[in-house]
Amino acid sequence: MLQNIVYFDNAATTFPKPQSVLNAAYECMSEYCGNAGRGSHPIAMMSAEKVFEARESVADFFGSTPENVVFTLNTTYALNMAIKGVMSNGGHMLISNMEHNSVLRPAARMARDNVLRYDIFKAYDKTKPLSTKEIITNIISKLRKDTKMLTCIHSSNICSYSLPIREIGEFCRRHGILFCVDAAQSAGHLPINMEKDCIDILCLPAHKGLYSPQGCGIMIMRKGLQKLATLTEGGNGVNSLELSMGNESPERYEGGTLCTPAIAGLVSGIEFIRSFGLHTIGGHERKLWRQTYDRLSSIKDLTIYDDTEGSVLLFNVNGIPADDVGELLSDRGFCLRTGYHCSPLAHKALGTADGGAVRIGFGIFNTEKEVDSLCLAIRDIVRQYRV
Amino acid sequence: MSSQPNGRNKETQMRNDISYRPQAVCTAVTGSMTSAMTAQRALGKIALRAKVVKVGIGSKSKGCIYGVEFDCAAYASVRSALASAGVDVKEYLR
Repeated sequence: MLQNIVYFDNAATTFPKPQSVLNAAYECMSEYCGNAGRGSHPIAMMSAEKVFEARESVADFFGSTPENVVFTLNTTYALNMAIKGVMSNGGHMLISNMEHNSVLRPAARMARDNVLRYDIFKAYDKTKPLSTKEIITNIISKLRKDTKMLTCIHSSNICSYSLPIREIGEFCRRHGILFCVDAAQSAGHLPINMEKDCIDILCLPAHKGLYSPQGCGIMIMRKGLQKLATLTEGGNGVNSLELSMGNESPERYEGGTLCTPAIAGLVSGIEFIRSFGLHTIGGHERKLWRQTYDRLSSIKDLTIYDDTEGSVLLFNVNGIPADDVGELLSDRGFCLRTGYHCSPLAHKALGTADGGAVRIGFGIFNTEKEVDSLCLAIRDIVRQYRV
Repeated sequence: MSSQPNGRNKETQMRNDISYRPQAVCTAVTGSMTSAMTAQRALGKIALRAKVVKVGIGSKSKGCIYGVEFDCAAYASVRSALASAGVDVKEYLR
């Protein structure tokens, strides 16, 4: 491992991973990595057992049932599966003005192809905080008779702002609109319960807030949700002589071999999160956020965007391009992400569409000492390079 | 915050007891591996032993399909338990 590296890019992927997650992935690769659901010999069955255990664990953590837990490659894939699965027959979809490209681009592509129409509702206003009532009013102003689905983030990937998903979910449920949540930045940080939050489809990654390996995303459907159109077709271990993927969830949606080592790691990742509790994890992240905010807000010529406490803080050094700040910090051993973070809508909403910004993503392994050294480095860069 | 649970995971347990040999074999054909495991868990909750198997000859399926084998002596109990658990059984083989 690289020495003298301080990792603050946890919003992209958490690092390092817990030892228990490494052990689980290694144990899978070395002891039982058969092809889950593709046979009944002991090695395939052990893999299948682990995959089922992961489905049980995910379902229990987010409030669904194992057969509704679909494993994908990543959150982007899960969101494509959800959006295209619901909207392939046309209709209208709403998305927020804080969406990642994983929602915006599928919507834009389907609109270009005349498959659907979509509108963007204002969920964030940089000039004033929006109340839940105002957000709902903004949604209502964009509704159409054929609005079929509302897809939005839970938490932003460029700041710590979160949408009131329960209230949006209740609104959607009352109006017969399917509610899909992108929990890429909130899973493992904030409590989510699909039943209580009225979520129909929840998409999330294993490798971010659940501290698991890359290569596994998850689409969770609520119990009783009507079948979605499939995004991919191929082998799923069931009824091989038929030409369709069948009707059984989750296999209907899982063409091809699953990433069992990542899924094995996910079981341990969720155990890891449970061992601390979301309250403790969130508290730790907010403490580091406040510490960073206090240090940086006293620096002249530095702008912090959005003051919601959480796992992400976005800033710019006035007069120095964000990418240059990132390079200078990288030279000092700090890992952060700069630019647009695949979220042009959100950067526009925050007022950073011209050049992007620098993102600090806190994780459970970050310490106050690391925050202090990062803030000192930023202060030093401002002093040295600010003209 | 640097502490974390240490050590290896508990050994991966084989819930599917491959040594289980019912005296008289009956099979509930469920479909996918997930549905078969759901059935096995449902039966396990009421202490009925069952083994997840790939079902071959005798099933009406069109290709690979999974189910659970159990002792025919428990046939009525299994039917009742799987129906209560909402497991969609395609067919029972006796």
